Amino acid sequence: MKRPLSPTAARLPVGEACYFSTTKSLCPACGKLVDAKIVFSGGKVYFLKHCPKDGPSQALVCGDEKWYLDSLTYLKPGTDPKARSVGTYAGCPASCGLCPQHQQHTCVPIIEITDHCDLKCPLCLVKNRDSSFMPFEEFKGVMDSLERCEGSLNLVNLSGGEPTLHPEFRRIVEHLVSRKVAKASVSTNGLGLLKRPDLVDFLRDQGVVVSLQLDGFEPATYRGLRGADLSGLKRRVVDLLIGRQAPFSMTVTLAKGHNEAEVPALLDLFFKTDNALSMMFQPCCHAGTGGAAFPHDPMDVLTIPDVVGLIAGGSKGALEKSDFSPLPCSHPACFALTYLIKLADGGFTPIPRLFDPADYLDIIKNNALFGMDEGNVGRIKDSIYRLWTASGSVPDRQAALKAIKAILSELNELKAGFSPRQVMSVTEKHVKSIFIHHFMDRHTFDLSRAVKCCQQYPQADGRLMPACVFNNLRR
Amino acid sequence: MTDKGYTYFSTTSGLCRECRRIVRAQIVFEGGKVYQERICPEHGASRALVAASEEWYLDAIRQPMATGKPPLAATKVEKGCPFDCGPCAFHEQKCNLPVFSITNACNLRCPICFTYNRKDKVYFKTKEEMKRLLDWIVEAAGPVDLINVTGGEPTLHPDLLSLLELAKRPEIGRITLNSNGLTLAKDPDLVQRLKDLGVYVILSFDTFDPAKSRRIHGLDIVEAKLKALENLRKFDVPTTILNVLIKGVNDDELPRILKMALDEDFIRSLTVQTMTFTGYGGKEFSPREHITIDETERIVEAGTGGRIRVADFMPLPSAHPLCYGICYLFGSKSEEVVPLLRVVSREELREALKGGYLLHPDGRFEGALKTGMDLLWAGSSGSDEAAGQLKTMKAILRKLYPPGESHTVFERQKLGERHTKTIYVHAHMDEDNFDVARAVKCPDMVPDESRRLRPACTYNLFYRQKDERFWVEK
Repeated sequence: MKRPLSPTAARLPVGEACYFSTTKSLCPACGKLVDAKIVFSGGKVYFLKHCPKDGPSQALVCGDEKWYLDSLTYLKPGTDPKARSVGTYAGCPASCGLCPQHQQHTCVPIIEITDHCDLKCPLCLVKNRDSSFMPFEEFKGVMDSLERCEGSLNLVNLSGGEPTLHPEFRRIVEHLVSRKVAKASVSTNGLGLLKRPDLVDFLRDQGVVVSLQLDGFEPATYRGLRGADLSGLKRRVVDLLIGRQAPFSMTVTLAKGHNEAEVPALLDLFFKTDNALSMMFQPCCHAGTGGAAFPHDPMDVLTIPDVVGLIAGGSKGALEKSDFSPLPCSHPACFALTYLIKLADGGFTPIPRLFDPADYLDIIKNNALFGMDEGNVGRIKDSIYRLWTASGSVPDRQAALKAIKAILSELNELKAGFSPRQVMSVTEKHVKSIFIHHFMDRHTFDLSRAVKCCQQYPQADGRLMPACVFNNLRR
Repeated sequence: MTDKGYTYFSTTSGLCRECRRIVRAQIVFEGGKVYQERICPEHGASRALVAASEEWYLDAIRQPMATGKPPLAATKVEKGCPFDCGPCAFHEQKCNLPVFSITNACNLRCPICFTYNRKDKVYFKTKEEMKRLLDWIVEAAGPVDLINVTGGEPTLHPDLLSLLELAKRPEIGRITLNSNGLTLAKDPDLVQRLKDLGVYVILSFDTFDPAKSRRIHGLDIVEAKLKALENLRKFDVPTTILNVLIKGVNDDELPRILKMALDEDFIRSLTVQTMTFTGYGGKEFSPREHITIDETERIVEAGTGGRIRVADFMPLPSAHPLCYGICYLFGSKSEEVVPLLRVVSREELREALKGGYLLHPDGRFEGALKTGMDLLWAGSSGSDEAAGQLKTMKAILRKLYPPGESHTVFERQKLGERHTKTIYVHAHMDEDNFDVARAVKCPDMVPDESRRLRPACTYNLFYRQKDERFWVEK
């Protein structure tokens, strides 16, 4: 599909930028892989590309040069999956899904069980065709190939389209939780839940997290991002989830100039709602049927450090920018995150403040989920004991340490050999997490990141397609 | 599931040695070292060491690299880097140092040679060609601080001096001339003429050891090299020592060569070129082991007992950090030199380099030096070492910025020259470590009469083959 070049092509003052490196990106016009220079200008990070056919283009990729440079040091070796669906490397991203050169296993598979949707969002980043539902047998096959590649999985996400529209939705969910999966989540716009509130009870009872698309509370936000005023409906979905005590996650798409002002109210809801386990902020990605055409200036978009700033600014002092760090097991430019621990008085303390930075890095290194494996719990224990003897000065810290100690003693009660599912059920009562995930579009596509992608769309043929390669090149 | 034994850092584009196609390459860390691994769908993966220390690498690549104005004349982007050189509109650096050969004749056949000399088809650049080339350089690159005239062995050119004379024009700051020294050893008169012309000589000097000389140059030329040095000293020709550093061959001699470069007043700088495996000899030189910039800097640190440390080097801001490391020193004797980075910050030094190779000692830099000296003194608790360093610094500062006199930056450059030394560590690229991220930033370019100006390493790897004067099938 041919698209217009950046409206601000060649706006960056040449000669005033600092060169950093090169990578491969996509031409915003023809979508072909082209060389991209990574340059710094005015404290921000840009791609400068030059397509042989369509000429030069530019795009903002990170709103803070310092964040970008620091994040490069958040590194850890990737993990090889048990098996790979593609046997031979034939160039990147030509032989996707996952080839022997892919640098990370599948941490979070996103299974699209339908391309039907009851909304036509102007910024939708996929391409819904309202054409099919994944047959149950095919879903089982997908799970088989996931287990073949991964053994067990910490998290599997059902998505779409709108997955709750699938006629065999319950059967699929029941099957999913019967597999070697610690946690399942369902991405939904929530409209279906209002029509069938029993689905909420069902998901809660299955231990499935509802990942609710929630961009804010204002009518204008929804008219802009979702094509209709859904504010009333979304309120009702939230009330329903709270009323039924169904664990949920808030997935917020932030688009520059649209809904940045919603961040404080979203955080308010998150902090005061016990069954709101996590938040996922997604700076708008201009891929897919909607997103690509959604009006935007590629030189002036929201990026991870900008969202970190919005969260810190909107948290009423609960969070600071320095509480966020890139996720080392993904590419550091893809994710940022923080964890908060609930104190006895109902308040929250960011977990990174409790630990020595090196210990903290060690804890988040291997997994996006706090304290998921035994080694991880061991590391947390070690640093807690160290803190116990060393601290005493920070009053908040004592309360927080008490809270962590409570988690650890609950975990101890599970005895040796506890399963990730059990650990999760303990930690989610005490720990909230905030993630920022920056999907790539043609403007920001970076082959360096694609190579280490840990979020993949499983296909019926057994391939696992890295999310942004799939969104930009294969749909 | 098991963790990979290495850490992936980033993706770039490299070259497959088998099929010579540009393929995806990645920078990976393993065992604390940094490798570039190129992955050819057909010929598999292979690795080259690019830095011996992950910490050094992460520090180096996070230094901002100044982007110069792009070259004035640029070709269209048609096939992507490096096939449009060039430089094409995608290139991210101006040309700071035009490098060109005036002959393919040479009186040596070095096993490490990284060019292709031709005894069978000798070529000498004519005066007309030289003039056209110089016009092209100025048109394409604008005024330049430096040009480098090389070969072959340029002193074999029958009309060398007339060619150099042509290069004396206001747009060209300094003429540097490469030589293996054999002619300079025999012909003091030529050395005198070079001095009179104001030419800077870059003398290749790789070893004091006859056995190593045979291995590196094909025959023992140590005596001739020493004689060439004597002649250069005699006529006080400003000289750069060019040392090709080869792992396991002559890396143990770097400290001695450095000491010579620091102690001799006529020697202004030392350029260490890490061995690159291209060219008639180098392509097949064995052992094919890359020595890195940081390994070179470590040898300097160990060899000077810490008087010059790894931290006294920084990446040259106008090039990629894997291409150039630099260390500026005040003082002109090995036992008294003070690394400039002990006195000024990297930012201040970067500012004083103005995006090139040479310091531009302006008034602002004087302020930075003075503040730095105060800090050096304050932080030293009056040790003998600091007192010695300060004495050196003060004496030089008086010469650079004489009280009551005002000088232009260029006059100061000349004044300062005798009291400062520079160590450049320069890594060329070969098939093993070619990296588009480095090529895009290259400031050293090869001009030719077809009105092209090509980054030196893309020239060596991709364009030399198209010019039979400087290439022959081997």
